[in-house]
Amino acid sequence: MSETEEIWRKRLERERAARKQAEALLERKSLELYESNRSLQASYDELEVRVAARTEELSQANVRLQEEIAERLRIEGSLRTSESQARTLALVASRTVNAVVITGANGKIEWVNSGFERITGYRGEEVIGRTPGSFLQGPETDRETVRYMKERIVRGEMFECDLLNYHKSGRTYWLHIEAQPLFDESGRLTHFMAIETDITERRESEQTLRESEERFRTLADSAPVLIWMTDARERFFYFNSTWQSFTGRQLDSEIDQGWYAGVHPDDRARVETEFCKAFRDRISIRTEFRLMHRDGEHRWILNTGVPRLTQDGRFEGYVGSAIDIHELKRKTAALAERITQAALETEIGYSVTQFGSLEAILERCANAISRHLGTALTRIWTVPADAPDDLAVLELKASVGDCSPPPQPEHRIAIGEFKIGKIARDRQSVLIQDIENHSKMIDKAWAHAEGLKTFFGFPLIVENRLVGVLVAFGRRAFPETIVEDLKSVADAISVGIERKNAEQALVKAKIDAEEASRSKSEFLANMSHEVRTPLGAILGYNELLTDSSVEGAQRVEIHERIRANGQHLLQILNDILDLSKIEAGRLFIEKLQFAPVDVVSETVANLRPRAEEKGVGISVVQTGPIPQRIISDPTRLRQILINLLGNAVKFTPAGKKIAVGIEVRPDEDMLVFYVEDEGIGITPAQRRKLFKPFEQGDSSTTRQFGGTGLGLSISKRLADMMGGVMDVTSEPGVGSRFSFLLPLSKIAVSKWSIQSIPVRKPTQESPSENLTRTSQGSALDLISGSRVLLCEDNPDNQRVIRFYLKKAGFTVDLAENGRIAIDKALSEKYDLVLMDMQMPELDGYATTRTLRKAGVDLPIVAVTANAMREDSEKCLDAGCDDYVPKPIDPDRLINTVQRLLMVRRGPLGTIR
Amino acid sequence: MKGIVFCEFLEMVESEDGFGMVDRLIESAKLPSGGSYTAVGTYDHAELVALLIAYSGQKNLSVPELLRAFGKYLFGRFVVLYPVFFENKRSAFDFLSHIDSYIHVEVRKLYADAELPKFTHRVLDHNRLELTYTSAKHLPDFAEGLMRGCIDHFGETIELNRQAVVFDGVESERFTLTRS
Repeated sequence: MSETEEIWRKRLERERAARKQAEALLERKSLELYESNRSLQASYDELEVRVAARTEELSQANVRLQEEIAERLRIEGSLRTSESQARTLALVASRTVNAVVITGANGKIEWVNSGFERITGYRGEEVIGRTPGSFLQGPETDRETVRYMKERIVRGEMFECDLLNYHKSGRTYWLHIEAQPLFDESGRLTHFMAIETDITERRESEQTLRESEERFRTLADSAPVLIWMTDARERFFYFNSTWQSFTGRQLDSEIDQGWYAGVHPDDRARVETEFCKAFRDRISIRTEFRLMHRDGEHRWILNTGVPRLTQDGRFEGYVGSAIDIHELKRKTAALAERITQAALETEIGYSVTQFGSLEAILERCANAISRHLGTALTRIWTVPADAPDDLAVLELKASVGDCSPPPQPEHRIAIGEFKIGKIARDRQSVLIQDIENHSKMIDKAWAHAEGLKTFFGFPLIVENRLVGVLVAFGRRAFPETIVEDLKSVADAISVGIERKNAEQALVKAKIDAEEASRSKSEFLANMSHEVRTPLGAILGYNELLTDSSVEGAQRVEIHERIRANGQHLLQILNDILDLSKIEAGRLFIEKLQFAPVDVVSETVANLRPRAEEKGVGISVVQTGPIPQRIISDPTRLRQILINLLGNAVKFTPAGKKIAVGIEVRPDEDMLVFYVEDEGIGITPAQRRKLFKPFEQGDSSTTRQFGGTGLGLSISKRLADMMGGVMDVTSEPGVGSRFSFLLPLSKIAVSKWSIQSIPVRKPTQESPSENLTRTSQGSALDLISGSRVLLCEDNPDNQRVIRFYLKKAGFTVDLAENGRIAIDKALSEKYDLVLMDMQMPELDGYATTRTLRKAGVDLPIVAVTANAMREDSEKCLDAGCDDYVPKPIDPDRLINTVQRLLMVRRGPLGTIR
Repeated sequence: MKGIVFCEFLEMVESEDGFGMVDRLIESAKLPSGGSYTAVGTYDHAELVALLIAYSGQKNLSVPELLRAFGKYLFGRFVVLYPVFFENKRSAFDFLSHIDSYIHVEVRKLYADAELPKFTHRVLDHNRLELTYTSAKHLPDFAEGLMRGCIDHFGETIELNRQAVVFDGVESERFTLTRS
């Protein structure tokens, strides 16, 4: 047999043994039951025997009793004969407060005591021989009781009952009646004896109690308050119907501790403890808590209870009442909120108008919010006033609270980042009543550690511009209406920030204006100095020329110095003009499509002669592919490059080299033009001043190298206007590299190419020169002797221009102003008019327009000191055919005049 | 001691470790009853102690630990076997404070010969109940197990502390239950 089988066998044996035990137990129990049944039967039988015996005993006792009564009556009868004994009996009967009546077997009264007379109001002789019911009972007497009494009397049995009787006066009263039949020796009923107690008072007090209880219930149920009671063991046993209709629960579910189920879970433990404590000390209780209303809402109630004591001071439990104070509480809270809000608004309104830094003002605002709303941490972030639109950051300006600040962010965050940045981005107020469960963007570990549960945040907006964000953390729930309530506060803070920003902007503007004014004065002083220097040289050299001892080569040298200084002066004036136009915002950048390579090669071609003359080599470098065409301003680009290259030539000593390059820096998205020299270089300190007007690397530089010091300043402004950047790297003594960078995004690149830069021959050739050259001889002969009307008010200019014109073979007539010019042009015959544009009385523009209007179709050449391109356009608009800038370049003047005369004369040589 | 305790104990052992273990316990405990128990019978409680000692040796667990575990188990069985005692009982406090005044009274009606322990209770406040366990057999660990079973049944969080005291001149164990 295996072990398992062995175990199962043993188990079976044990189960069997257990079953046998159980069976034995059952059998024993059955036997016990049988035995107890039998003994029960035996007891029953015995009881029956004893009952029978007892009945027998009783009837015998009855007989004995009747015999005794009969005996007593007999004795009484004999007593009656005894006067003294009769007196004693009368005394007893009269002293008793109860009424005693003895009637015969027929029910008629045979004897009454004085108590009867007192209670009923009838005297004995009035009632003897009458049945008591015939005069004592009345309409309110209970018929049922009367019938019961009659039955017992008929059957000769004792009875006991309460009955309403009528006093002789008609007043009713209550009696408790105990009536006993009396028998004679033979067992025959002879009399009834009734002892009657006046129980009116007891009945009335019972009635009063019942009525008072009834009144209490009625009162309690109709009362508008919730009423409850406990018994002495503090068990709640009564809740009035007002309570039941409030909770919507039946009495049986409220009694005992049942009503606690309706108390708000958050209040329950407290309320239970309060009741427990009050009951223990038997003191009155007063507590507020939320109780579930039948509509499912918890409403605040005020519950009061006092111990109930009987008159003798015995404790009977508690009685209490409760009233619904929900609305009251809500209104009180709302009122408190409004007061808080008004106080807060006042304080904020005051704070933002105070003096002090923005930080100080916002600190006061945050403080006020913390104090009035009980926030744990209040912070105000602002958008920096001078921040550009695309620099989206917020800076922390005020932080007030009794908790540690969140670990991140610290003092500067990007708009859109974190909760605060999100409020700024969305421009939406936020209210979170449960950080734990409802916010992904707040550091929960921190909030938890600080006990922070709630949050609100406002974007601070003025006229649709975001100026900051106000946020606060709390440890308790905020009113749901807080976002709406605090709108005016947020507005006031916003306006405060805006006002402070504006104030700061004003201060800055004032400083800037002062700075600008100062630099303008400096500029003027510098310009005056710069102009004076070459002018002084010119005047000085002129003085030398008047000295007759100066002769020959010396004179030529002096003429050259005068010319060079004059040129320099002109350059200074042109640069000043450019700069002032730029500063006045009157210089415009064009957008034209052109090949950048062409501009580079033109520039190099222009400056190569000067460089070669000096012994400086220029190489052109192109690295990688560059765009074939770009959209920008070629004129300004050329101006910048000429300036850079001109400087390089100027500062590079003979034998050294200059590299001009163009390349694309793809990682920076820039098209770069650069000029690299092996010149004197620039120190970092000098570099800072480099792009400022009249500041050369060293003031001694001007003396050594010449130049106005305005070139880089102009270049930089032009670069700015074109959306580009000027950059310089340099090492003194080794060389400098000036770059001009144009963002590819701003120049709408069309096509990329590797294109070598053609190296052009330097040329001064103009179309008119070509013409002059190709039609040499005959053409010039044709126009020689042509009559030119020179309209010029300045005697020096008259003299100079007339000199050049006469030298070229023309006849010159002079008009000092516009009026004379018009008169002469209309009355006499001329081949061409040279018109100075700036004249007193009638200027060149008006004169030209008048002439054209009058039908004069002579070529008119404008002579103007306003060398800018816009000026030349203005001349052409007025009706001029071409223009020549002042100061007069003799070659250019003569070429222009010859060309126009040639065109006018036509191929056949006739004047049209 | 009522046979049901023995039956349920052996049931627990069987469900835990199989009948082989039950057999080993019975064999090694040398029981006067031979290990045959009927729920309605009454047996010497020394037999349970002998079984517990044997099981303790087998499981390498202390007898008090076993008694607590068995108490918890047995309470769970009571819930299944005598649902009538759980009618209208809302909480562990509700149940525990009615052991003497109601449950044991009813048990005694069924088993006049049952030797029941005494649980005197005192409400300290709404969240604290004090139960004093007094028994001729003095098995406070068993009582603790039953109480823990009761707490689990009502799914409440109640802290249970115990302290040996002399109550009415008898060695007793006082349990303090704190509801959170």
